[in-house]
Amino acid sequence: MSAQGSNSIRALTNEDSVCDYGEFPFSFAASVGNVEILEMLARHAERGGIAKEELIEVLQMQRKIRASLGAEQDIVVKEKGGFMRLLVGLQDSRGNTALHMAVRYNQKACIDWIMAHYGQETLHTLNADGMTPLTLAAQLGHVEVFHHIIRNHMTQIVYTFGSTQMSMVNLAQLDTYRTTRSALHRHKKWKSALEVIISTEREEFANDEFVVALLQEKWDKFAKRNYLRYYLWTVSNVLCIVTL
Amino acid sequence: MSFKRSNKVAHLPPLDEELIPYWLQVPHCQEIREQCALLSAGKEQYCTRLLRTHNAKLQLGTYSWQMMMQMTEAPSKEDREKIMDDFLRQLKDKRDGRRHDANHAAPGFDGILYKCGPVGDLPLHQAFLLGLDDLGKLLVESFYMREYHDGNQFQDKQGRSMFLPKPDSGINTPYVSDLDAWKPLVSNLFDDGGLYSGETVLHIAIVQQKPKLVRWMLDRYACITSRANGVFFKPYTDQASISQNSSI
Repeated sequence: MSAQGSNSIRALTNEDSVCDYGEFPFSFAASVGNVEILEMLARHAERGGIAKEELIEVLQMQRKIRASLGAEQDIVVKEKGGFMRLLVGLQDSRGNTALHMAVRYNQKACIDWIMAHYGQETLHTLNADGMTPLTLAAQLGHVEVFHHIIRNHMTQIVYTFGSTQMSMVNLAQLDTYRTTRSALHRHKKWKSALEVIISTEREEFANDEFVVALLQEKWDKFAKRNYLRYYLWTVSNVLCIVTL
Repeated sequence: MSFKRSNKVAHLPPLDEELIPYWLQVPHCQEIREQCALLSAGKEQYCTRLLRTHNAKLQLGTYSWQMMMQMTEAPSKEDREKIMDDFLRQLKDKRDGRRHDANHAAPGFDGILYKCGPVGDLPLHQAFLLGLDDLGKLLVESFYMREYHDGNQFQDKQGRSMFLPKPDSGINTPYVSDLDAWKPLVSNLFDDGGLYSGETVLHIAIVQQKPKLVRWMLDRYACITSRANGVFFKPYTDQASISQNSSI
């Protein structure tokens, strides 16, 4: 009886798993948070440390993974810094890149290093669950990492005037809207950070200024009006039916 | 429970003794097979689990693991080096066909160095896993870098001698699936692709955060695109992820 019970639990959670560090040495280094080793591996790749047979094999595997995840871009290795870019963008069989792993283990130094070395594309890479590094941080409730990515890597500074600064944040990954131009929004499993926070009911974000401000703004701009309109419409309908 | 079990008789196919790996004795093997055969259908995952607990115990009994445990527990540095020299000398004698120690029950040279142990590992992995970096380096240089001994060296621009890059260079030997040894012996196991399969010594050095060791391995053409895709490195197992894995 007890064996039966534990067997069914094991189907849901894997007891053997201890080190969910991704698959490649590069994502291992990002998970344990060692920037020195990250740098070493990347320089090694740049200097031709990936043999030709390995490269062919790894490119084939990456194409398969991308096709199975529904990604639209192809990998290009010929440009300058191509090997480093390849290494940073490598996805394991669950679609996670090194940046995903760094977010999972709260490694801010590694996030900064990856973003400084061809990491811009990985910021928009989806894993098998349809998560980008930012929405993964939201799902896991890593508030600090979430803000760190938004503030340092997704904010565009328009101008600085003395102590005043005007900056812009692209809401493509944050807000609930969908556009047809964005490859992220076209993906079947796409969920924005706001949707993730609400659906997972993360307490960490309940008193978060940024999220609350975003929700407040949406409420004031259009949600309040829409809500009232639908509310009054249904109430009046019900009243009509009752009086008839 | 035990009363019921004693009434049952396991119907096993006859045991082919050639299939039994060197680290397992025949009676013990038979016992484990009977345990697994008595499990009812639908308990394949439990069977795999059972085999893994046996494997973990058997690993502690292998010759190389015992030598390395003696080394880690050695009271002083001299003792440690003495055990290490002893171990390496035995391996070298075995390779050259000399019998150093007649009463030692250790398996042959190939059995120790190139046949995978209970969890799919080689002594190379064990040495780095237990933090015996100096032993690991010596093992790699004297037994696993075959190109190095074949005289395939060439000089680079700075006059350093280099090895030819080969993807099948010995340092890249990964762990194999720990279930491989059991597959011909036990019919009802659940094959999830192995516990540590695909892990190389480079992964171990990175997790231990030893930049100098990583540098040393990269200089010997450790492969930086090798994938550790065993169950140990996954957050969960479900049927979908396994089928996806096998196709990629």
